[in-house]
Amino acid sequence: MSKVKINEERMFGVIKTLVALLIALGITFVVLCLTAEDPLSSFIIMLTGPLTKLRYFSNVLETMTPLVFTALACAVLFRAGIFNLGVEGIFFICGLVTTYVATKISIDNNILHPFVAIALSGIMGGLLMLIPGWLKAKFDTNIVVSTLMLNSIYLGIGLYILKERLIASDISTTASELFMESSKLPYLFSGTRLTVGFFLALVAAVLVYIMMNKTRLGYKIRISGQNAEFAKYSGIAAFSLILLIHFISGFLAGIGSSVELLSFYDRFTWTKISTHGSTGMLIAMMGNNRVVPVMIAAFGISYLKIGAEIMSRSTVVPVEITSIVEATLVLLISSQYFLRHIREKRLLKEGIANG
Amino acid sequence: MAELMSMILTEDFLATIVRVGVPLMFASMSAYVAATSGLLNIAIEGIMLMSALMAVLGSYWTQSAVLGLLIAIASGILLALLLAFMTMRLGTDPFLVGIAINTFTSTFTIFLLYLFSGNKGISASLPSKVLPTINIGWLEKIPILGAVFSGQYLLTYVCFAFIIIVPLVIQKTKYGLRLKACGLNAQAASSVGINVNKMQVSAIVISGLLAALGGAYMTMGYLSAFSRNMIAGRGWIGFAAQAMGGSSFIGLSLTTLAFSFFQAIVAVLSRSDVSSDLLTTVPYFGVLFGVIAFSVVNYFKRRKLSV
Repeated sequence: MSKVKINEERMFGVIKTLVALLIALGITFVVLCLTAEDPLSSFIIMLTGPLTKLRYFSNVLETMTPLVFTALACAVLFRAGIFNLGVEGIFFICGLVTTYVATKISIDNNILHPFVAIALSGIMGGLLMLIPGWLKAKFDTNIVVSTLMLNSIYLGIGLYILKERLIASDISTTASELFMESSKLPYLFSGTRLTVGFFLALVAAVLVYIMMNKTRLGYKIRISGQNAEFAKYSGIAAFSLILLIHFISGFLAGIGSSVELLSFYDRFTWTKISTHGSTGMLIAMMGNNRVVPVMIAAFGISYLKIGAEIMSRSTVVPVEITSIVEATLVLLISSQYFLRHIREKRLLKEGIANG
Repeated sequence: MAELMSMILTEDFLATIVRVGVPLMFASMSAYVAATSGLLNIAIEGIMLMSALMAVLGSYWTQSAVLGLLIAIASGILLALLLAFMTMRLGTDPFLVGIAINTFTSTFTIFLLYLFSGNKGISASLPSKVLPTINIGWLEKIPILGAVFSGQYLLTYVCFAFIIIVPLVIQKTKYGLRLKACGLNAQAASSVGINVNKMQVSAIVISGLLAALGGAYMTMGYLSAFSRNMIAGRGWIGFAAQAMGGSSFIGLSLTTLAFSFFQAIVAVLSRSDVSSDLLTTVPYFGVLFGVIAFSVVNYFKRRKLSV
């Protein structure tokens, strides 16, 4: 009985997501009609573009790589009911740790060098995330405000460090020196730019899945997300739990940043907070903070971004059009009552039919 | 340091505090009205950004500053209503909706900006209108007061008016007291015949209006063009000031004033040779230490109570 119910609940979730997707794409089409010269063909290019060339499809997986990390970093905290918005700041500042290792420390081994960069970046991310985490756990400091302020602070400090310590001597734009060849992540296949980083993202997803669903830690996270009071009275130590998941989240964000840079960049070129963090946040919400749906959402959003990018080359419509789909999906999927009345009517009918 | 002091102890500096403080105060009041009714307006940042852009686009389309302002206000209220609809009717977590709206506007404004100006960074190519600056003749002659209160933008005086009206309405009128009742205990309010939903929707509309005015100020006074993500946390600073000021309007105003002070220091020091990147972090440090101090004080209050 209960298994049937769970399956049905899951089916409802899938249907709800599909309807939300249709509405989102519908709105996008309307916007295209208002802006593009040939809306229908633009729309089709956007939806099918990534499948037309292997390189485009590889671009989807490349875009997805850092988003998996940031989305998982957000999901771990959101699942516990903590609205930490700090992932984007951590992503930025940890990029500088990676840059430091990739430009200043020469390790003549192309496995060890990226490993050191990624590991240090992850540890730095975890430690920095402990700041708002500790404040939240100890004093219940408003974490939305503290993490947002920290994001802007990391940006300012990061740019200062970039300009004072890591700035390139060979070009005039604000960027770091070239990363050493030994620090870059190796390609997975020839012909695409997909690197080992994509593989690492999949590994991270599997590990987070195991952590969330098969370990006591994951159970504690889920319980505190559902009912903080209950979690407290059943002996879950909130303090250490909050610290631990903040470290994990920052660690994931730091690794993601490092993987992004060592896979797709020659030098550090960010001069503002990148959108990886905020997109990751939206993806986590779309996937309801569960690993499998989050991965699907990460793929879907990346697919759409590449589709929009291909479209934007032949039209005046900028790639930012994807923000409409993202927002609509997040709002409708996370709504409790969207389509709920249809489902309730059906259940009621069934109930009457079954006597 | 002496140099800093000589920069701060001037009439100009006071005028700067007002200039940079107006959008913060709009944001704080926006947060305050929503919170009084028991809703949290997490989308202030996004509403401000959207209406800052719509003020530029609106005044460019209509070639009228007033119509541009009205379009900006309308867009702000629409976003606020979206927030209300999602949380009240569709049962979505207000934090989620707020974050979604903020992320959406930060990208969607770039979309609109590019569509109409062909530039993803700044709206400089669009000849938009600004609201006038107002000089009050008799006031100008008074030292200090003249520098602070005369020669400001039109929306600055609108802000002053709201600083008087908002607490008056909340504390002294039937409407305000009902709004407070909804925020303090929605069930009790509803049991004495107050339509809580209706009250909250009205509050969110006012909150959207205030945030929109703050946004419009940024592109119709403070600056005359839109640049991407130009709100730069001002909406969140208002949110933080509300969280710290709580239900006290004076507390809220003083907190906002303190934050404005930090912003003004940045504005003044940016003319000197201090690293501008480090300088931009000063107001954020101010807010960060503010919320930390606030939570630490509360923490010790709670401990005292439980002992």
